[in-house]
Amino acid sequence: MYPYSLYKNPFPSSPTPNLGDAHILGGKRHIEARNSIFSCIKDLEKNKEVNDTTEKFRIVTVIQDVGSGKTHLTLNIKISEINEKATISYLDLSQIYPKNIRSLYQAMINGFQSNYLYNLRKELLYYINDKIKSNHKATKKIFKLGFFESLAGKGIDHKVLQILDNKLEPNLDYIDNIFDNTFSKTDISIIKIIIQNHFEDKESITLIDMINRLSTLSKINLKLFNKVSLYQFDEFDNNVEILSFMKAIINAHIPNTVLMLILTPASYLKIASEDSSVFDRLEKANYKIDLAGSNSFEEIANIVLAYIKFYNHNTDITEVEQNDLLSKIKILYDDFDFRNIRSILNIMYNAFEIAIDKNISLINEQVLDETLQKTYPGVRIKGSIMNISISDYIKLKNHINSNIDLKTEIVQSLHDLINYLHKCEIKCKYEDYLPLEEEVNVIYKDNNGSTSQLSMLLNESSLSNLKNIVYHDLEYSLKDFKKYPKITNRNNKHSFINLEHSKIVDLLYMSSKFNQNLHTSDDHNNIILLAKSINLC
Amino acid sequence: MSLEEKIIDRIFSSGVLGIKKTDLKKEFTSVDLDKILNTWQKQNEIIISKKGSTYYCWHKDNYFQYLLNSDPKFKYIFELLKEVQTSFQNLSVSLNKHVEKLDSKMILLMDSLLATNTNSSAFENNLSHSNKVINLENFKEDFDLTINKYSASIGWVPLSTLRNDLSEKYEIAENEFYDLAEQLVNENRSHYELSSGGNEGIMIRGLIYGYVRCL
Repeated sequence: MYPYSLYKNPFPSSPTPNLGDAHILGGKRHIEARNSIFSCIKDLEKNKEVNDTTEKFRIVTVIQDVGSGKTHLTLNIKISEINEKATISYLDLSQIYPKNIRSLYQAMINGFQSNYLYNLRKELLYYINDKIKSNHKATKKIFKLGFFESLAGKGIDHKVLQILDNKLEPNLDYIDNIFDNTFSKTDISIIKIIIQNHFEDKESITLIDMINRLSTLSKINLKLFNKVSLYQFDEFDNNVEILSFMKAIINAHIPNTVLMLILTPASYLKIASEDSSVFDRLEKANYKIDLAGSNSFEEIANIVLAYIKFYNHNTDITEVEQNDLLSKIKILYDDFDFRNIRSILNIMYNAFEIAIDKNISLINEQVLDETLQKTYPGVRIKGSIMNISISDYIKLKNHINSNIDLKTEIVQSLHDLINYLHKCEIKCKYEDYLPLEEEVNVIYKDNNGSTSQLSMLLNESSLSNLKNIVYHDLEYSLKDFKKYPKITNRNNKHSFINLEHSKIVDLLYMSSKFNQNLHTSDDHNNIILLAKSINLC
Repeated sequence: MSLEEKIIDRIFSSGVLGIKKTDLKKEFTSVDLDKILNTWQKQNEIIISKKGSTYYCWHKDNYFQYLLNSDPKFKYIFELLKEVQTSFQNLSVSLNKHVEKLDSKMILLMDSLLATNTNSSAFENNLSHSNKVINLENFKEDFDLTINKYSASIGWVPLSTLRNDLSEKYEIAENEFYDLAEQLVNENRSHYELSSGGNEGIMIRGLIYGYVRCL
C-alpha cells in the first residue's frame, strides 16, 4: 500500500499535465476558475437559435505563471461534465510547427475528439434522413437506395454505413432544401464537403474559407449536438501568425463559440507590444479568468489533499496526518523555494514511490530526504551554506521551538565557530565570555593580535520573531525580517553584519554537528564559507 | 627722459640685430659709455657680444631671439628643453591629481578614525539612521503605487518598469532595487504575486521572475 492507505500513487508523474491525470481538480481558486468557464458556456448554450448571431461569441483568457495549473485546468474542463454542453477542441500551440495560419486551422479541427468528423458526417446523414423520411422518393435519391435493396431489407442505416466507409457517394443535389431555413448557401456547400469526406483534403484553402468552415462547424455543433463550440488555445503567445489568425477569428464572430486563450503574464504583455489591435480585443475579453493566488501555499495544500482524498475512498486521511504532511510541504514551499504546484506534485509523486519501496505508511522526513536527493540533488535551504537535509532541518526547527534560550544557542554556536577557526589556525581562540556590556557576547583575538568583540544586538521581539520564522507556523509573518539579530565587530574595524535566518540556521546546525562529533572533512569548506559570510575571517 | 634712459631705449629699439658699441659711443659722447654698459651687463640688463670682429649690444629681451635666429645649436638645445618642460608639466599635473586623491582619502580615513572613537550607541544611531534612508515601509508604499500606475487590466507589471522609477527616486542601483523587492515580496507573500519571464527580475530556483502584481 502507498502512504495513507492508498492503493495507487495519486500524484501525476509527468512533468506537464496530461488528460489521464486531469480528472482531479483541487484548489479553491482553480475550482472557481472552472466554474466561471462553465457559466460562460452555459450562458451561451441557453441560446440555441442557430441563426441568432447576437451575443454568441465569447473570449475567455486564462493568464497565470508557468507551473500554476493552467493546462491542468484546461484539460480538466475538456474531460469534464461540460462536454454535455460543449464540443471542445484543445490545441497546444507549442506543438504546432510551422506556426502558420493553415497549421493552426488544422490543429483546431484536430483538437476535437479523434472521431469528431466521422460522428459529424453520421449525424448529418441521419439528420437528412429524419428530415425527408416521409418523402421516400427524395430518400431513395439521396441515399441511392434501389428497389431490390429495399426488398432485401437493406435500409438507410446500411446506406449510411456505406457512405461513412466511403463505399458509396450520396447524391447531395437534393439536400439544399433540407438545410435552407437554418444554414446559408456557404454552410450547405461546406456540409456537402463534410458528408463527402473531403473536409480534411489537403487542398489549399483561403483564410475566409477557414473562417467559413469554422463557422459552419459551430452551427452544426449547435444544431445537431445541442452544443456550443469551445476552442482551447494552450501556450498562446505573441507569435505574429497566431495573432493574425486570432484577430480574424475574433472579427468574424464565429457563432456559438468560445475562444479560451491560455497564456502567461509575460506573453500577454508581449502581445501589447507586438499587436496592439489584438491586445485591445483581448483586453475586452468576456471572461478574464484570474488565477490570482494559485501558487499560494493554501492553494497548493488544497490541491495535494484533493489528490489524496480522491483515491482514499475507504479510510480518510486523518487530520493529524494532514497537518503533518502539510507542515512538511510548507517547509518545501517556504525554505526550499518550491513555490508552484507543479514542483510540489513532482516531489509528492516521487515521495510516494519511495515510501512504498520502503514500506513506510506516511511521508516522513526520511522519505523527503531521499526524494529531494533523487529529484533535486543540488537543492538546499534558500541562502544556506551548510548542506542541511530536510530531516535535519525539521529536527532543528523542533529543537528551536522547544523553549530553548535561542540567544544563548546562537552565541554558543559563534563560540564553536571561532574555536573551529582557531583549530584550523585561521583565527585565535575566543578569550572568554565577558559580559562587559549587555550586547557583548563573543570576544576573540585575530591573527594580528588585536581583540575583537562580537555583539549580538538582539531583543526579545526579534527572538520571538526568529522562532516564528524558524519554526513552522502556517500563519507566520516575515514582517519583521529586518529585525534579525545582527553581529557587530567593534575593534577599530567596525562592521555590521546582518545575520539572516539562513545563517542562524547554518550556525545552529554546525554547532549541533560539533556537539555530536558528526562534522566531517566535507563540512570544512562550508564552515569556512559560513565564517567568511559573517566576516569572521 | 634721462640720458641713461635714452641709451637703454636705443639698445632696445635696435631689436634682434643689436647695435654696434662703436655706434653707441659716437651717438652718446657726453657720458662714460663703457662704465654704464659694464654696469648694465653685470645687472644682466644688456648683453655685449662679438658679431664678426665687432662688439654689439643687445637688450636682454632681444638677445634670446638673436641666438635662436643665428645659432642652430642653441635653437636645437632650446627645442629639447621645451620637450623636457612639457613632460615635466604633464607629470606635475598627474602628481597633483594623485595628491588630491590622497588628500580626500586621508580626510575619509580621518573621519573613519574619528567615528571609531564614538561610542556604541552612536554607532547604532548611525546604523538606524542609514536604515531609515530606505525604509521598507516607505519603499512598499511607492512600490504599490508604481504597480497601480503601470498595471494593465490583469494587474501584472514588469519589475523592470518599477525598477526604472524607484531606482531613480531612491538613488539605488539595480541590484539594490531587486534586493529590496525580494525582501518586500518575501515579507508580504499574501500581498504580492510574482510571475516568471522578462530579462531582469528576482531569481528564484534558477528562474527569473520579472513580473509582479498586487493580490
